This record gives sequence, C-alpha cells and structure tokens, in this order.
Amino acid sequence: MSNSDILEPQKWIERYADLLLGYAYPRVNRQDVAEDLVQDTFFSALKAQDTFRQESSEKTWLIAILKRKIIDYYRKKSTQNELNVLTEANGNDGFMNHFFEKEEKYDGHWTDDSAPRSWRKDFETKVETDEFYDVLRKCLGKLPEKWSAAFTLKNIDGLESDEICKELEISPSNYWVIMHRAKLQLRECMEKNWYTE
Amino acid sequence: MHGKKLVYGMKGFNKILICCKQATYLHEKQREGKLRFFERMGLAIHLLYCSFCKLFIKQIEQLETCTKQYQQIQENKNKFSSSRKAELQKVLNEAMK
Repeated sequence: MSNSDILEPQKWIERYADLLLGYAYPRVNRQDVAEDLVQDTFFSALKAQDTFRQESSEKTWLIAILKRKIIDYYRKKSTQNELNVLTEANGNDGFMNHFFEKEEKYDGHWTDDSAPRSWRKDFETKVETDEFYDVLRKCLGKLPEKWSAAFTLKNIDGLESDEICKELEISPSNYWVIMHRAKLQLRECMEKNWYTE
Repeated sequence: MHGKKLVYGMKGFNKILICCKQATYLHEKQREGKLRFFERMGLAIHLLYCSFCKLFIKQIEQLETCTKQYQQIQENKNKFSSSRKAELQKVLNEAMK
C-alpha cells in the first residue's frame, strides 16, 4: 500500500483541525497564531506525504509536524536583543533591581514591593475558573517570547533544560537566567492580578 | 599552615551564605540536579531561614501545576469557527488539485 491509500487529506480538516488547534493554542496563547500554524501544518503535510511512515498514525504524524511549526515560531519570534541582556546570572539591570536590592548594599534581599506575599486562602477552589485561566494566559503573554517559550516547553511539554536549549537555540546559562526571570515576572503578575484581594 | 587552612575555610563559608536573588536563581538548577556542592548547601541553608524564598518556591510550584491544567483545558476548548473551517477546506482543496 502506498501512502496515498492511507492518508486521507480531504478529511484532515474535519478530523484534525480542532484537535491541532487545541494543541497549538495553549503553546502560543494566541488564537490567530494557532490557526495559522494549523493551516501551515496541513500544507506542509500535503507536500510531505512521502515522509509518512505507516508505523505512526495520521494523527501522530500531523501533530509531529505541528510541533516543529511551533518550535520554528518560537525561534523566529524571539530576537537577539532579548538574549543580549541575559548573559549575567545576577545582573544589576532594571529588571533585577525591581525585584532585589543590590548585593553590595542590602545583600540581594527582595525589595519591599516585590517580596512574595501569602496568596488568598480560597485560591485553590477558584483556580479552575475561566477567569483564572484568562489571567494566567495574559501573564504568560506578557513574558518576552523566548521566556514564555522556555516556560511552556518545560511545564507543558515536560522537556528538560538541555532539550529546551537545543530547540530554542540558546546556551544553558541563558536558559537558567531566562527561567529565573520568567518565574519572577509570572509570579508577580499573578499575585497582582489574581491572588491578592 | 594553619592560617592558610582558615582562609580556605572562610572562602567556603562566604560561598555558602547566599542571598534571595541567588537562591531564587539556583532553585531551577537544583530541580535538575545541576548544583555544585557549595550551591546545594547554600540553597538548603538559605531556605531554612528565609520565608520569602520558601513562599516563592511554593507559589511557583502551584503556578506550574496550573499551567499544566490550563493546557489540558484548552485542548478541548478551542475550536475553529465553521466559516474558518470551510475557508480552510477550500484552500486545501485547491492545493490538492
């Protein structure tokens, strides 16, 4: 049997469009981008029917193509500028000085404004609401592209640091700095917009 | 001889006392088992007395769990509009010709 007997491109949209969109959306956090990535996936798949191996299902194969598209999107979106500031782990730039006092003077302690506060008690019963996920999506969206990409690859796709470095074409030291900053910013954003009453 | 030893000891001690900025940075590395001996000790000691950093780590872990749930929820929620789907089908049909 040739691939054309197994693949049924005329039925792809009906069968997989929503499924692929559901896969892409939480990884890019933008409906228009997710839709474009799905469309690109179908076109690429159409052209690459010869590469389909019968051991995998049509669905798995399409998702694998979409995964590559998402990674390409992450790579393209992040500019070199985002990385230039990130060479120093504990840099004294504006971002870090917002969160921490300078080491020489105040021992790198949290600043008064940014020190974590206890979150409201009822948050565990409220986190599953749509409003909560709206805030989370917005806060993830506020991170620079490469930061949210790294955070997403780690927490949604469960990748380890060395794989993420490879996919995003960054150095390990950049990765640790990115994750540090992404967590600081995300946590603060959630605290300001959701957890404090 | 004795003096030299003491200096080395002090060096290690300085490395062990880390600040909040360093502690929050080392946390991610620690989870992947990528800390050197002094860093590991430093973080452990810091977390014994710093309630802010302890809270930070707890909240980050909560947010990470939420991010996973968010993805699972979105997977079933987002759909193409029927008009967008029809449009997509049309361009794909064109490409298949």
